[in-house]
Amino acid sequence: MMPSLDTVIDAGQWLFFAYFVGLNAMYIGLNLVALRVIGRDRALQQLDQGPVYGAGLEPGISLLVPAYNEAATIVASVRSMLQLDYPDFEVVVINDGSKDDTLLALREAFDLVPFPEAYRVAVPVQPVRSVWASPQHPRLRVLDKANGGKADALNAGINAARHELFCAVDADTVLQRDSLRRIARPFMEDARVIACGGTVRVSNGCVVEQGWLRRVGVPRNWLARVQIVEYLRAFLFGRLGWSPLNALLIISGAFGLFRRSHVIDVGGYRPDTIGEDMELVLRLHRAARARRLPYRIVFVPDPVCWTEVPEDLGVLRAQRMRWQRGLLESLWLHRSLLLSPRAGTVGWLAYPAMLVFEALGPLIEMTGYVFMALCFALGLMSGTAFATFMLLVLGLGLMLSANALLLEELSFHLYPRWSHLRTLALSMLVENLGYRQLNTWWRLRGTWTWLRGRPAVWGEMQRKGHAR
Amino acid sequence: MFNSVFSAVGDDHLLRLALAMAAMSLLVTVGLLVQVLSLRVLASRANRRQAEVAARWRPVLVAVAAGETLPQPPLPSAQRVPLMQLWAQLQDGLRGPSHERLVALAAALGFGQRARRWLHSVRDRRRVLALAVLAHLAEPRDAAALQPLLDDHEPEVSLLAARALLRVDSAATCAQVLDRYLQRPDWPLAQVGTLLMRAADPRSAAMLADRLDRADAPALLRLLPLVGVVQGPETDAAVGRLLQRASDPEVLAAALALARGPEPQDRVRELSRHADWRVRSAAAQALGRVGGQLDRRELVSLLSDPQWWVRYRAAQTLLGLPGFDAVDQQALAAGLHDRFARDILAQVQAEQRLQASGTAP
Repeated sequence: MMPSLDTVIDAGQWLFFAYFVGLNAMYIGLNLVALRVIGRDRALQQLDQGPVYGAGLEPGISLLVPAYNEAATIVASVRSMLQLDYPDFEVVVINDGSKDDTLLALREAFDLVPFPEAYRVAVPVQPVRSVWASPQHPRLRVLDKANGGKADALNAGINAARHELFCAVDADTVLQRDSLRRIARPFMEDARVIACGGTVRVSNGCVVEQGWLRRVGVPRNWLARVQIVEYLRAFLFGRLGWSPLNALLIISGAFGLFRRSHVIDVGGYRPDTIGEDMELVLRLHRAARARRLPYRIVFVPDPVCWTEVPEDLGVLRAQRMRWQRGLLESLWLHRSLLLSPRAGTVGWLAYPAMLVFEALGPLIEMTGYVFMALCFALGLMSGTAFATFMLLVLGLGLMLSANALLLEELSFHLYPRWSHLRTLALSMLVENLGYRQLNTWWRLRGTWTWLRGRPAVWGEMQRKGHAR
Repeated sequence: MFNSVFSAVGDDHLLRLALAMAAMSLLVTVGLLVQVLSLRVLASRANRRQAEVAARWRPVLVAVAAGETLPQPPLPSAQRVPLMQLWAQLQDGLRGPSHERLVALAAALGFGQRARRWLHSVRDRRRVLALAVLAHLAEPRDAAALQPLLDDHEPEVSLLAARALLRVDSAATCAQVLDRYLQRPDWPLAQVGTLLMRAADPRSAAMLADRLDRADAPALLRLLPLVGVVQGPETDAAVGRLLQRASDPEVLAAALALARGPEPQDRVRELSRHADWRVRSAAAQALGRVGGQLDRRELVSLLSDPQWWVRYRAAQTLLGLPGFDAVDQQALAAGLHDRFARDILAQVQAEQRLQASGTAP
């Protein structure tokens, strides 16, 4: 009996070890790609000497802003969007059957008048009740429609968009004046680009006035601080690393630019999914690869928008469970991409990595922690062995977080004060000593609720940044 | 210390490996944090130096550009790079005598020699700065050194070399830029367009027209948008010829967007009945530029097109026709039996009312 138990424990240890090494090897690989990309862009960015644009060849962009019960913040958000620095764009707000005064707030703030839109239905959506326009701001239109969810609202916006590129923006997202210029650049540089995402940064602790970010700061709340490091990791190498391989699987729903005709060709956003942003990107990959189209889905490391992250454990838990469900749902819907002969880097690299390390990751990781702890508690593993494995997990996690800080320092250097740096370095420690394990637990719960087919919980978030 | 830690894990290979990796990752973490700190120290030193240079030299540069003289402050070697950067940034916004005066100052400060030395530096930052400086100096003797960089594998470097060469010899470089633009998919349209627009060489329209006459469909799709930047009688004629011979719908739509003058009128009318809606839509728009009152009937029939975009463009063109006043609009609306045609007309009328009353651009 004992030898076989030893064998099981040995095998468990090796598996857990191999998983962590594999996971971190992937992240290190992505890091190296990201370092190369950022290093290459650095000289031009610092000197600002690249041939500038100005010949009027920039493509027009339709900003699509789905709004559901956003009466408190929508006016400031739209005002800031109307002031974006870009030659040709329009703002289409889609009031998705809000129960509050979102539409009234917009009507009063922008003197909206009914507009006789010859509404076309390229993608089926819930009925559009009315369309409004502003004599003061000809770039602004507002669609008022029956509630159908974010994906349905975005589809309604796609139907009404006048430009070939559309930018999906969350109503509570804080943009930078040059956000559109930064994210449109890949479309101007490569005609094959059909979608582009950018880095989303944490706005907690920053000074936001009238929808604009005035000063970058670090929040007092530790949960939000840890998420700054987490976002740096996720965006600066998690996504930037996949982009040169044309294997980016996620473009954040908070801010992403798409070629409208390609999105319409694949049927628009799916209203019956939670992770509609990831699902659309996977569908675009799948369709383009099936048709052997030359295409690129890319990512720019530039900070294009800022979002407020939860400072409350309950809301954060609901968010992470929902994200995990969205991930599983999207991967399941597009499982035919996995190791498909035509799927290239998406099917042979990104999808398997996402499946093993992100979708199944929480299960493997939590099993590993429980297995090690049990072995230790039952005296089947020495304290030294247990401590060694925990040290390895901590060491690799810290190394990756430190590299994310390095990438940030090398590229955008957005946290200028020494106190910011100190706080972020400490947050790295908290992230790897507790937060990550908690997150793993929530994601495991998200996996369980998805398997049981329970409805997702959204959580009520008290926003603070926009109040200023 | 390491030996004692390793001896504590015994002979277990897995544990020894795990411990070694843990130790290594913690060491790398410390190394990375040290690198972050040193980058920050270097960055704050560089910022301080730049601020110092800007405070001392900006008034001097501005005075020189204005034709005045101010005593030059001492220039330690550590301040040369930030000063060259400042000089290049200021030059970007200057033309004419002010630009020339700053060029003379740069010659006196030895920027040219330094830039020429850095042209083949392994440090991207230096190469980029060298190209920016040489572009402003625009000395014919640099053409030979700049020429190979036009084919640099980094698109940013090759485009900066193109900018410098365009300033040295725009006629010779325009042709090279157009040819390389067709060969290099990594040369973005917007940047090449900006380069050609700023070069403003009157011969570039003829060069572009020549390439339009010889290009195939994929090349035409890349070249046609440049017509908007370097338009001339030669490109107008080339677009006319292209409309006659092209069959690819994308090419036709792109060419229609550039059609001007009365020559292509008949062909545009013909293309307004094309099977591909993109061509019909572009033709509906083009009729506003090349057509006349005779095309009203054609445009009215396009208001009932199955494609929304064709209806939309036709309505925009119709309402934009000279002399098509409110009375005409009412009569047209009353005579339309197709609901889609009526709806699109009402929408475009409302759009125009909004544009007319709007204060925003």
